[in-house]
Amino acid sequence: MIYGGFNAEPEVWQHLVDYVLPTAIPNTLWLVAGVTTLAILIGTLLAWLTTAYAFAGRRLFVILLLLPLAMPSYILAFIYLDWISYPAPLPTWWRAQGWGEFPLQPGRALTIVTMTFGLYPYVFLVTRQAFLSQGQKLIEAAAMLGSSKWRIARRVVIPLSLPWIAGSGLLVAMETLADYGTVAIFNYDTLTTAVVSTWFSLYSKITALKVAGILLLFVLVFIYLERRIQPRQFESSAREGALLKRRLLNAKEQFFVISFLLTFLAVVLIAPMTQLLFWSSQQLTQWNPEWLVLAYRSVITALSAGIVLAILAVSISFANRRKVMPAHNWLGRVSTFGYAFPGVVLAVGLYWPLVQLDYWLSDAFYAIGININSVFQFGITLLLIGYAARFLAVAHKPIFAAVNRITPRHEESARLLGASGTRLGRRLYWPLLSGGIGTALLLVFLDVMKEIPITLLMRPVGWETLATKIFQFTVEGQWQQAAVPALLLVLTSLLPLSWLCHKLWQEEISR
Amino acid sequence: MTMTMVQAQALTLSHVHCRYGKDDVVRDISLTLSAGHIGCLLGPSGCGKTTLLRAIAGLEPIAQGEIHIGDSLLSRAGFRMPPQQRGIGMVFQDWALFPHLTVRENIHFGLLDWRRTDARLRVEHLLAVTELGAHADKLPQALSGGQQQRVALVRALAPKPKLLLLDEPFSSLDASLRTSLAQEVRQLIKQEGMTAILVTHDHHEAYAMADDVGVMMHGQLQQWAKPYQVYHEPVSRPVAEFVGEGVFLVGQKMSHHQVHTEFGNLNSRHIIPGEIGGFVNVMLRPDDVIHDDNARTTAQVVDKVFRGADFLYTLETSSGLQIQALVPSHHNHAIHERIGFKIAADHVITFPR
Repeated sequence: MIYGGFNAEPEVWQHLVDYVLPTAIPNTLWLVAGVTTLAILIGTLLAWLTTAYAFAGRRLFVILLLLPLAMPSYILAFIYLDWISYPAPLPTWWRAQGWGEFPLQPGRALTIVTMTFGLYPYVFLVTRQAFLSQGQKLIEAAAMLGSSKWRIARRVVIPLSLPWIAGSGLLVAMETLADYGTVAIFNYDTLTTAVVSTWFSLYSKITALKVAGILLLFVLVFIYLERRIQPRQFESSAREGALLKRRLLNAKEQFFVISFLLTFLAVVLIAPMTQLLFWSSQQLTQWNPEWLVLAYRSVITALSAGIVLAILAVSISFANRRKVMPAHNWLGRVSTFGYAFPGVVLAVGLYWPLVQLDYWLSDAFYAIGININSVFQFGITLLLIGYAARFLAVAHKPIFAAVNRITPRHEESARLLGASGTRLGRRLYWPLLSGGIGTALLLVFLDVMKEIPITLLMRPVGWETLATKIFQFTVEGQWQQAAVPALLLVLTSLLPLSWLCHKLWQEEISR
Repeated sequence: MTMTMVQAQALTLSHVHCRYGKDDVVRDISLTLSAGHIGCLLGPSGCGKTTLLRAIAGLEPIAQGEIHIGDSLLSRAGFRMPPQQRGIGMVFQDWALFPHLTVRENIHFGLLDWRRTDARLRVEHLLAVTELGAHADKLPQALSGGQQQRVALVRALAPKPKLLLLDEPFSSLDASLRTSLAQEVRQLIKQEGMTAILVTHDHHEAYAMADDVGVMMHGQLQQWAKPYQVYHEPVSRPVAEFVGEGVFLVGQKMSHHQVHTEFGNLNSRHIIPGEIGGFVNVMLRPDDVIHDDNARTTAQVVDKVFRGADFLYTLETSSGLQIQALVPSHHNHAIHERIGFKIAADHVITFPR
């Protein structure tokens, strides 16, 4: 990528500087700032409502509010785009009232809102955990020290949660920076669309690398911020104690909270799902076997990526802990960088060197008498390398946490009690790691299922998945065609997500 | 490997050294712990006692010397029998209970090679003895500190190891629990007829648990003796200070077995160091100073600490010397009051000045 930075073709680069970058850079900044702020506001508000207050159906709402994790924002994007198009019912009704043009138009505001709806669950999930982990003891301790309610919020609850809120906000910012699908559907020019259009429309891979380099500068700022925030996430000493006491809302308050949550869910989940079902039911009159092939391919790709990454993450975590590698610290850190790198950046950054390496390797093999055309372009190898680079952090986090739960004392105890070899693995490692591995598999699966740019750029020729197919239909404006793959994508994502929901539900029940 | 019905055996260390990089953490330690005895390694943090314990367990290599249990060699330089083959049980400082297994499963962990019925009987027996039966199906996290401690102990005891090691097992418990649990643990180990070594920095714990106490400092074993002897006849002033309270008076050596102090002439069973006429330090434990209202010598109370059954008074004599006295707590005297006392040490211990 650095190579590209110095070798861009001057006339293509000049074109970009004159016409593309002046809109793409401010657009990107607006988008990141807008989505991050809005997602933090919405996510934190929802987390607080569902942890600090008791009302009818609270547990169910916790689960429902997570479900949009299965609904990538690019699916929301084309549904919303349809709803506000000129002939759609809502704008038509608006004009019939004589109120003039329908005010919601594709543009910055709508892009920000749509992406927020897709990304707020990250903030919700993390912040909720932060609120829960504080427990009642600290709040009681503060009250015993004579603090008022407001003072408790200001001095205890907010400062303790802030690192988590900020951390999840950064995650949202990085996801926003990395997004390609949603902005492409909305025709909202950002740095990611600039990279892809330079690559495909201007056929200048080197200049694409240069644009990716600019994008990378933004990313580095976020990585720096994340490193600064992480050490401040405190583990409370009082977390063992009683949990936050929820205040039971009175009937009037309950009515407001529940109607707010229902309206919100209607916009982000229920209505879009209904629309997808409606379109799909129209499409399904002629059955197309290709749909199942697409779903099968998506699942296989996502599963293989999950397994590859789980194995990688387990090895890195153990190497990290045993300190067997001199570079262990460095490796652990770099492995978590990838997530910050937008898919397009990784794709264009990896594609070039890998293809080059591929030529050399084939030549080398040819020289020793083995005749193969390609090493990496065999099947989905290249694609898996791309996913591995991007999502290693996703797999690394839960697995690293699980590995660290097993202290050297546990291993020593088990050894002293006569366990070694496979028994040690079966009785100690596997039961303690399986949860973390499961979570890692699930998260990688969800991410890979909806990933567009890496799949688009690094797949073998003709390898279509649900995500690429949805993307292809929607950029052509064929929303109804995209509905069946979109529905299949949501449904297949819901399966593993239900496992996460089940865990949360169990937690809620046991409280 | 079978671990059923192994008889308790003696532990022998001869000239053991442990090294971390270039540092000798443990230096030239030799000791023998008889079968069925409970030994204690007592010392300040960083004295090498935990390293020595881990070396006995086989978790650390040794650089010189040999470790034997009974007749079998466990470690020597360049050889280390793997921990799982030693038949040694260990209770860790943080207990290291397996978080994914219930209390019962934790205890059963070491019994996988036992016959199923034997293993079950053993687990149920131990659960009953320790009154953990009601918690058998809970996860360790759901238990109190004292209960978790007991589970850790029972888990280590269950396979009937030849030797049981306890690494500061009570340090994460509160003080009130420590003493009672120490008694309970001692009883359980004795019932099982096991040889055990405890590591601690707390002399109360050492005295409550151990048959033999080894005081370790700077990687070396300073003294290996019965608790009574360690307390009343410590081999050096640092050991004396570490294993109990007390003060040191200046005395003049009158003969090889007599020293003159502010409180008159005191006898010593051992030869007093230095030249006759020279000065030495005389150790006075709080229990050597007896409160007596009829005594002629008096001193002023400058400080007192209530310890339940007794008070630890700090007294100042007319010459300005401060001594400590352990007095039954129904003798409640105010600070600044003058009270009578006498020295009741038939024999004192002296150290070079």
